[in-house]
Amino acid sequence: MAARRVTYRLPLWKRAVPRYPLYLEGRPQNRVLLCQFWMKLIKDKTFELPNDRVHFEVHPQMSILDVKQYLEKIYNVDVLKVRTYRRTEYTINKDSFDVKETDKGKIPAAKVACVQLGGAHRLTFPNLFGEKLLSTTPEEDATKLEELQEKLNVAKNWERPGIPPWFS
Amino acid sequence: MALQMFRRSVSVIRHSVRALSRLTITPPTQPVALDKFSLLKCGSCRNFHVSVKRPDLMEFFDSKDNWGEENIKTGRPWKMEELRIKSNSDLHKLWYVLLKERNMLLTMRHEYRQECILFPNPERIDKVEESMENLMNIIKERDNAHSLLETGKSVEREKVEALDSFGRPYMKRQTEHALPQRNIAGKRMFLLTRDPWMRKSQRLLREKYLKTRHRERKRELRYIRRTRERFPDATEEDIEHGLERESARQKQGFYDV
Repeated sequence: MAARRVTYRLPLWKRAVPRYPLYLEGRPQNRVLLCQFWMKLIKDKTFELPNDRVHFEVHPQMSILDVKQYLEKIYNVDVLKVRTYRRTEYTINKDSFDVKETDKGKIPAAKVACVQLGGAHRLTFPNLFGEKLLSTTPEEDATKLEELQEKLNVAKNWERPGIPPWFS
Repeated sequence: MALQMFRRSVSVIRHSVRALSRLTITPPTQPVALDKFSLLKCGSCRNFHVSVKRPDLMEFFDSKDNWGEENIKTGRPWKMEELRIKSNSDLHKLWYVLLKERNMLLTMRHEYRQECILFPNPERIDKVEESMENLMNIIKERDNAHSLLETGKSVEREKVEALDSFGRPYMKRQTEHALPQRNIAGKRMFLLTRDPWMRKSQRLLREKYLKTRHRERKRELRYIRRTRERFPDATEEDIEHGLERESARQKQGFYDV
């Protein structure tokens, strides 16, 4: 028997948000009770942002007004100005010494919102991994040592390629 | 002399303060801080405990104790039975708690990925999503029950038979329109009409359908004839059962080994 086909469950945050119901004049205002939008607070890699600027990766269906209301009503943050742009999908597959094998891959498309905070609200991006970035685990050290030894072996025997190191 | 100097300096400060206050049109708002003791002042709420309000945009990050930890223990998602008992306002509050939690988890995962560190316990996102989906289902149930009481119809849009632009029938989901669709000028798509220019394609489609039906019938008859030859003692029930299996195989497109 062949394997049964398993349906892939799209996560809720990747799904499209349903349309607003049709509005006709004279009816009460349409209101969203369960908001399905999501926002990610991201760090700008190009340069350090000033205190009152925050960048978000937002749901692609979100408009500027949506972003503003989302922050004001759910997070109680005053917003002065919002600007959005769409970051296109791009791949890193250059063959060069700068780009490592692990860094190659696809970076997905996203909608980014640049927000200027108002009032007394400020945010400095916290240092989430204080000493963890510099420290290494013993497993990592072992793999690094192995790589170094291989390189040294190659350097030792570079004059006679194709002959194994036990051959003397 | 010293007193005069003091007064002058005070007035200068006041003037500058006034000038600044004129510049700002709206009063500067502060991050909302909940007055915890207002609830404790009244006697009936003595046993009421309020969790500490976190700073606002820092809600996008995990609590400081969990930064850089390898294992973060969490509970199970909300079940349907538990949510069914809750009131609508409770569900509304829970939804926004879950929404904030998901936002926090997504930002943290993004940051971990940026720094090439393993994100601890990524199943937390699935747990939150599951409870959110359960909550949505419960709301849908309630909506459906209400509309059944009021109108006798379910909330989901009904499917109606319609013709596409080549005159082929298909099941179409109904959509809301401000005006009836027939009245819109210049839009004749998706109406139950067959135009004369469609006749040629209609004929070809019918021919295709008849051919496939004929082939299926021929295959069935062939199967019955061959089974009768091989097993003369077989009853009609056995042959029917065999036919079902054969047709299922044909649909799947492979044979059991």
